[in-house]
Amino acid sequence: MASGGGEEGEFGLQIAPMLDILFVLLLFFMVSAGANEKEQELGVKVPGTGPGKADGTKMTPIVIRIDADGTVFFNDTPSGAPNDDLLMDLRGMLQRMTGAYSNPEDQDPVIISPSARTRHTRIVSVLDAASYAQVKKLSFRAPPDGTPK
Amino acid sequence: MEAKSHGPAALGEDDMEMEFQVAPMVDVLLVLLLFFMATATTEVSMQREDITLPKAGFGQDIQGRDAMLDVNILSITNLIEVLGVPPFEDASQLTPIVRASKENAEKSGAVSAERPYRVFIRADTNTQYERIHEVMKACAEAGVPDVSFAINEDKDQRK
Repeated sequence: MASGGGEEGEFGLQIAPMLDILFVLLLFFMVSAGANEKEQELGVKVPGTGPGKADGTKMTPIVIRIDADGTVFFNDTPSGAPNDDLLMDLRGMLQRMTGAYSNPEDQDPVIISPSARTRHTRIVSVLDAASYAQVKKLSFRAPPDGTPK
Repeated sequence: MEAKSHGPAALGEDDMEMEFQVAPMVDVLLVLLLFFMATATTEVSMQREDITLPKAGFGQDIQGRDAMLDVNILSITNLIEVLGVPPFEDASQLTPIVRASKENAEKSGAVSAERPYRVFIRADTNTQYERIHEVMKACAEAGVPDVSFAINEDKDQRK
């Protein structure tokens, strides 16, 4: 039978150390739960090889070029240095575009054109900026450094 | 007068009998229970230790898992891993897998016009675009133009 104190000659249940350990465990799980990262998704539509929509003929697409070093260009205008993680300038440019249209279907299509060696994290930063600006028409262009097989 | 101590040294003394304290123990257990209830989520993270996902502040919560296919691009080796198939290098092998998975999802009724089938690409931060484009192209050839990328939520950006 568990007891808080030890009877003579018997090894009893020590409550104080048990509580100490429980609180340490509690603190550990509280800290580790706070450090958990939640997985989310950023969506994009890829131009399909099958029957596609023949739209955009009247719209001027916006081309966002990403060089291998991470420099971002908005229609050939520099909008993000390689060390610029938040891409606030790009967000502003995209937001000005999306804000000009009340109907998302009227937005100019945005084409992301990364280099073949562009790192995925940089592409995600650009997608994040597009998501912030609520860009609805987004697609990718094949890398100009050589088409994949 | 006899001074009574309450520490462990007091244990075993005849005039200081420590009884089993149930109330504090129950309090602690209830706190622990509440904590695990608060932190438990219904959605199990599918994160992998060998893929470091990029961070983004404006992603969306993953919904409609039955209408999507997870494709992992492993770091360093750049091999493609999908549906428990041994990782492979040739992206063109992905096309029939995606097509079959899409057909299965359509038969099960998980896919609709409002919720089209999509591929969920989980790639490392250092994966080069050339590889990702190969995967996207293979998915497009399978008739799945909708693609989304796995990211880790960056809560600081939303502030």
